[in-house]
Amino acid sequence: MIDTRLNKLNWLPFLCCSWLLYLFFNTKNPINNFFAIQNPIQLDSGQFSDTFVLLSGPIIYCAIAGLIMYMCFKANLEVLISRISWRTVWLGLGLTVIRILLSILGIVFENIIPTFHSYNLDASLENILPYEIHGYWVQFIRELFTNLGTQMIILLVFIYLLTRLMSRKSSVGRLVVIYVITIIISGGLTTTATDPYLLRNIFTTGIAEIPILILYQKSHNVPAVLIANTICLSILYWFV
Amino acid sequence: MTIKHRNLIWFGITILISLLLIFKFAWGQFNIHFTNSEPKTQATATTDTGLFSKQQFNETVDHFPNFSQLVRETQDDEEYYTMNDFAVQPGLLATRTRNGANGKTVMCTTMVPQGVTVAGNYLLTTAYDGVGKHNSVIYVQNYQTHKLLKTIVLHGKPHVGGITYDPQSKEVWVCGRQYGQAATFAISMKAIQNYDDAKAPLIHYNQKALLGYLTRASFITYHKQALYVGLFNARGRGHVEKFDLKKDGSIAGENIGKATQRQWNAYSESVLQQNVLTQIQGIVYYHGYTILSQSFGSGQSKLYVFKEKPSGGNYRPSDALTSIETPAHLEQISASHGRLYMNFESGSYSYRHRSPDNVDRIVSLNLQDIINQAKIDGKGGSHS
Repeated sequence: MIDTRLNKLNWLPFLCCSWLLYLFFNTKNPINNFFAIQNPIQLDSGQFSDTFVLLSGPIIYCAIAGLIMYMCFKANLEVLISRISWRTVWLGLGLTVIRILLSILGIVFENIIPTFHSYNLDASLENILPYEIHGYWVQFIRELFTNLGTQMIILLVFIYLLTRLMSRKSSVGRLVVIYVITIIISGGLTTTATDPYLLRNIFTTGIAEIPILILYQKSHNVPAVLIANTICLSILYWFV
Repeated sequence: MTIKHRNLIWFGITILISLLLIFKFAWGQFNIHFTNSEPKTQATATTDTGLFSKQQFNETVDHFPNFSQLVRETQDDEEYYTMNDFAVQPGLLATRTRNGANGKTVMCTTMVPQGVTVAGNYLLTTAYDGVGKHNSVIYVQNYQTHKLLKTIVLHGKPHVGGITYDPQSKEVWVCGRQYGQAATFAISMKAIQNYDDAKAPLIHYNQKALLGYLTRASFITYHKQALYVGLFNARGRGHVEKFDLKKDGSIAGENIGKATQRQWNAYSESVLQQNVLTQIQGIVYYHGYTILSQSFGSGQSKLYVFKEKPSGGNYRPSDALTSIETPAHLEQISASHGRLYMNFESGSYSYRHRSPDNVDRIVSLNLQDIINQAKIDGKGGSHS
């Protein structure tokens, strides 16, 4: 069950901040431009300053998302970090495996669902050649922090929906609605300039979120969810 | 103030900032360009027709008074240079090349022009596919008539930011990148002349060389039995490095053919390194002067003129004798027959709809006029 005390929280400022944070890092404003990938990319041979700039954007994004989450739950931190039992750990491992499988399925779907636009890959980190290990690491760290930041915003929305719709009267129907809305929002938030297909993201990334949301629902422990997410991303990135 | 009022303020501020971010700056990320999928074409051969009208060309040129003056210099017969005196950049509407994945001959409508050089009787320009599907190419035009003769298909999809001609060995050098470092490859003029345009095979490379510690070869020029290869840097200073050529035209360096299964002939290290300005796309040496082209995105492009520094030293903005504003999207520059040739990418499908300036020609300027202007400005006058 969700903590009823969360109902007393004024959610709007936190949801607004989360939205603006996403928008700030996904519009061509001067500060985001500074953190962006320059064309053509150059990461090796001592271009430390470029690497630093390239990583600092997602790290700041992740840090602000964490701060918004912390401020939101400051008065009631046990909602964020509940004690977890061994049963929840095993459940977490199982859900992590399911998330990986769903993500792989998503990758398969990505290639099937048609897209109507393309973008210039020259400017993107995906264009780094696989044997440029330094660049590959930079890409991984960048994606990891971006992913964790987005994950925190998704969780905030999920907790908000649980609080609003489930605290007084809970039903399976309401839970399904909460999951559907969160999946759609998750697809929206993962829609970026390098991955601009909303519908495809809802069906791929959004659906792969389900195990992570279940894990939060069962554990009420955000760090555990983020760790599970990090494990998923690492395995997918390096082995799939 | 009640929570209701505070929420209204929060909501209002969020809407305002959202509108500002979306409509002022646009959704997306810097440098990631959305384009519609590659437009279809009925063409079966590389096109060599211009895209823009005479009025559009004149308006673009006139927007830059000093550039306009240099473009419209008087010819020998007292006629002014007009748009038709400049060669059309071929392949902007359609280019016959090969699919990078399956090697099949295809028409590409998204080629982005980059390099330009004059090699003997030919005007050569390079282009890469902006969508990243098709092989990069070299367009070969008759230097005098500007007629498109053939489209040479290169190996893979290198950015081909620069091309230059070694008149001693009669080889054309093109910029590339391999193994995470700068590379350059040479094509003999004989191979270009014998290239079968109908069959469109991948052209044979006479030499291939990895270039020392350079991460990318963004531009290149031949000067006094050496190749000068430069690195474009969008944020900080770029730099240019000098690589000696032997008398037979081969690049000086260690032979690494065996170590790399004979794919690469040489590993060459530079004999001179110089820092240059930020966002440099091309370099030209002419009669003791160095000219740099600077451009990035749809912002203003410039030509900078310096006194040449043959034995070292950096090119800083404060050292420039003059700078000349030019239309946006200026790419490589090269010198030949006393003229400066300039290639613009604003005619490509990726940029033609959003570039503030539209140039679909290889514009050339009289080099002596530029140097004269630099001499005047270098003595205290101001230009641009």
